[in-house]
Amino acid sequence: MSYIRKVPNTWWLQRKPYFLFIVRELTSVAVAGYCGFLLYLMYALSKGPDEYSAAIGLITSPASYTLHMIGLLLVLYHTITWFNVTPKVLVFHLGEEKVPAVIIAGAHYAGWLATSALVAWLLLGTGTSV
Amino acid sequence: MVAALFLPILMVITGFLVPNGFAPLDTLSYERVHSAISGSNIVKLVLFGVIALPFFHWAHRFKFTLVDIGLRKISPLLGVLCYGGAISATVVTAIILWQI
Repeated sequence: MSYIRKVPNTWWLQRKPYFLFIVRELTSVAVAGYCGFLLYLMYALSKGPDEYSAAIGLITSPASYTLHMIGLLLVLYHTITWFNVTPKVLVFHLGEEKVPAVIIAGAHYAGWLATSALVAWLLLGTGTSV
Repeated sequence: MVAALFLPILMVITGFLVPNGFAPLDTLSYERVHSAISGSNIVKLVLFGVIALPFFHWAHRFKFTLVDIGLRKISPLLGVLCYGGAISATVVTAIILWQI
């Protein structure tokens, strides 16, 4: 017989790091929700100009503004906490020396910045037709 | 990783820059978006990755969060619902992008 210690379902409310872990896991709901919205836009796009115009018109609503604001905060929390642990996941050696954590995390932040700039340029660049 | 890299800037664009007028009004117009996607398999492939992959990001985390906060008994069912949902969303994404 093995003994399994009972853990109350509220374990994650008992310490701040546990709580922040659950918050981080739940940022995935914002991720899925936003991708669902993108999928809806693509569905409307496949149906025709009227359907798409109605769908994209939603982004000017107060509800969209609020949801985007909450979603962005959650997604940023996910991105930042992920890049901050990348030095623990990726351990590189140059000869005897370990590549410093700030370089590994910094490379991810630089990649994030470059990706964001590229996406903004492709989508917002005037005169570019992607 | 896809979610971490791509979603923040997309949310800034669709949530703030375009609706608040910081970007040209026709940025996300039907003509512009449709012409960018319909003719290009590369654009469709990128969109497929950006839209479909994060559903798996969600499925895994959401399933284990529910298990961790007390739904351990129905863990297999949650797995079917979450991963099944992600697989369904992937198929739907492929079909929709194919039709644009």
